[in-house]
Amino acid sequence: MRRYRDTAAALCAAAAAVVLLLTILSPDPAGTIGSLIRGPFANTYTFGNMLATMSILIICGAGMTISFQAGLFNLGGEGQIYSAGLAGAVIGLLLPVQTGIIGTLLIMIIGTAVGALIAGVSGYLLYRFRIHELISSFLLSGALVYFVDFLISNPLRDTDGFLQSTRQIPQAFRLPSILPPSNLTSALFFAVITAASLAFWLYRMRGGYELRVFGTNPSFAEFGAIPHKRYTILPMLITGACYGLAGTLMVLSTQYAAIMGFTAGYGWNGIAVALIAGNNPILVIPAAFLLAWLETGIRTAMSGSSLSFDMSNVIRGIILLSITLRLAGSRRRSMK
Amino acid sequence: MRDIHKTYASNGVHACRGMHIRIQQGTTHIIAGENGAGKSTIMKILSGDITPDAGSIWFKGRKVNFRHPEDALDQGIGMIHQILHYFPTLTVREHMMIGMKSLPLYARIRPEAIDAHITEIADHYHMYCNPHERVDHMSAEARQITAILSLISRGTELFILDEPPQKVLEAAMMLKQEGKTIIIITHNIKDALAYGDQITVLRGGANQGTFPASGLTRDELSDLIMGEHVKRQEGHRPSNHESPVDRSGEPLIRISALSGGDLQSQDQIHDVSLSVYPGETVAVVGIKDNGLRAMEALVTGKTRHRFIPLSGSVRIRDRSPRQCSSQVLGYIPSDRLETGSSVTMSVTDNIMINMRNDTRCLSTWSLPGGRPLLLPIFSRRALRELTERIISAFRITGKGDHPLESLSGGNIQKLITARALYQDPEVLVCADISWGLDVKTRETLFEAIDQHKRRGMAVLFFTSEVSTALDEADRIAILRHGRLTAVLDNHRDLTAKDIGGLML
Repeated sequence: MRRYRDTAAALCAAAAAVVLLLTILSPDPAGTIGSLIRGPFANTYTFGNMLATMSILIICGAGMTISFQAGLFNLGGEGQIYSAGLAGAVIGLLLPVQTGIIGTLLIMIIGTAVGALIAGVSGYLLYRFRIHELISSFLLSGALVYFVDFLISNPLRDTDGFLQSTRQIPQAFRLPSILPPSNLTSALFFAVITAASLAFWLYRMRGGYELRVFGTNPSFAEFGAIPHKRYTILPMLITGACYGLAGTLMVLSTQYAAIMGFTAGYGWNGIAVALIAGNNPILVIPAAFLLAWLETGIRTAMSGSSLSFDMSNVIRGIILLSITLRLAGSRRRSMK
Repeated sequence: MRDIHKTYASNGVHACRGMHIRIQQGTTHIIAGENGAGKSTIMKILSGDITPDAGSIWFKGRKVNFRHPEDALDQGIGMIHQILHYFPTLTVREHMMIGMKSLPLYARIRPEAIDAHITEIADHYHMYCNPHERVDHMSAEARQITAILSLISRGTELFILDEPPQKVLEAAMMLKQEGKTIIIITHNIKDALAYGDQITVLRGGANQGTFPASGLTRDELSDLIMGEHVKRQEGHRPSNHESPVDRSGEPLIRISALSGGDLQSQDQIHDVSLSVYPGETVAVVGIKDNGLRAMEALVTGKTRHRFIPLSGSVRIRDRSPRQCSSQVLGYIPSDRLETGSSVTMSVTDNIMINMRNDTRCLSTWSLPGGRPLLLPIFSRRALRELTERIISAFRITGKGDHPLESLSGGNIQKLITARALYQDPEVLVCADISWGLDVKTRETLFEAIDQHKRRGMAVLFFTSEVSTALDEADRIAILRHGRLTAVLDNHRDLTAKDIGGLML
């Protein structure tokens, strides 16, 4: 109960701060606030785009909860999304068009595998050499981002376009649109299925139970003969796989190509979503909705030109900070 | 403290129902009572750890209002908890520095200068303390010593000790002679009478009265605590006098020439050999840091990152302990909260740790032909029934879906014991099982273990309480400086003095 009350209080405080800020700085505060809140629901285009953003956030956030539940940090989301997206785009360009839906599935599977593999390296390094996964995943991802940048802008670049991007994948592989002209595709279903099945595994199946035991108390896990190796590597693989899936879905449903810098911070937002959801994969869905609403609202308000780019960042910051503060507050209480 | 009320919001337990306690300056005041009587709660309120719902605290004639333990510490009130919160990777010195409000300038530049200060206090109170040792490498007792040293160095005047070990008790007696006030929370009737000036008895969240210790006998105090007359047979001895243990067959546990332990401390054993036969209880007694923890870890094959086996072997039947499932080897670890449970997970989650591979915990789906198909999914109903059975068999106060930390210490230990016995193991290894528990809980636990023992379970238990060993064991093995100095039959004429002589 208290948890929900605190969340509500945090959001009210954030809203009040935003209103105050806009009243001072915006020429048309009422209009800006209106488009911020109503923007995402104004038409099918913005609404669809909000749901598309939410889909990707759900997958990233749900994957991240698994690492957090195991007491591990995967800070390499950006690199995992980016590499998997590129891998997906390259496979899409190489496969014969006739493969159709099988090709789409193959792209998704390979992208997922690439993401899992990259994060898995950090898991293995932790198990074998006790290298902290937080550092290794971050550094590995940092290096990969530049490597993928190089591949996209040099050997794999589509020389006909002016964008720094690969060629576009054939129509046959793209995911069907749900709310044209928006970017919303069947990716939303994949997202909900991912979150639900991870939650089911975590709370109702043996592997998930063992993972939670390992994450809350490794000594107790040893008491119960839970294999240490499996639960340092497996959670990283799952998180990486989710980031990989998110990367390929972005390529398959919105970008149709690996565009330079297309990850746009999803690797980090996945962490934010997982934290807001209290590491519960099912609660990731409303958390992702909240964040997607905010993102889309800000974008709408900006395109209405009454909100500057810097201001939009300030607003985003205030809201995320108030949610995080709420989390920190409740954690301190629970420690007592 | 006047009219204190407290209800825990997380589980609705009404822990204090209008308590009044008066504590006189310069005395030793004992707070006695069963598990769940509200002892810890009322003392946590006094030390500012939790805030009361109603009531007021007066200290030295002034009304005080503590919002945080730091507030109480500033006023000179400090508490040492039974389970200490600490930073595992910091050393003793670093812990002491956290408590020091204003570090002298030289100490900020050269922290080593503090070491002398620490050792000086420790020596003065006849305690041993190595400022360079990391806290996570120390025994629970040594951590308590660190905590009391830290309070002393902060100039604390009122010390609250929750189930203090012997060493800390002795230091507290010296502090009292210097005019400090001591409050001790304890279950141990003997300690209460030996060390206390005043004894306050709590029951069911209310004060049953404060009595001068000199006017009470053991039986009277015991009656006050329990609220009813509890029969305590003096010199109660286990079944071996009715039917001696048959040691002609194969032993269930065979330890041969076992050596190993924590290579960075004194907690090691050397060349230990011991066998435990079906239906027998062998107690291994020793003073802390004489190899008890090392032997516990090596015999069960757990905590291998700290306790390393060097030579020798442990065989349970004909397998190594790591090959034994919980159906063969039941284990009740000394570190209940760190090794034996996960306090933030639910009660059910903690119960099912050994049962998670059992098909009875899984859901089934009936196929059209009527054949049941086993799904790899936990059955909520089966888990609920499992929890119910364990909770009701041991009369544990708590709910399956509440976090384990909402349970009292005694209930947690009941749960861990019930869990170990549930699968009818052939061998039970347990350590410090009755530490900090009240008489009633203790008897429940030993009664349950006894029942299994009569059916042929072998029990190996580690303890530093000689009286527990005398009460419960068929044979007593004494561990000193990591070596077995004697293995004695628990005859009627064996006394604590005999064993004490061999331990020291």
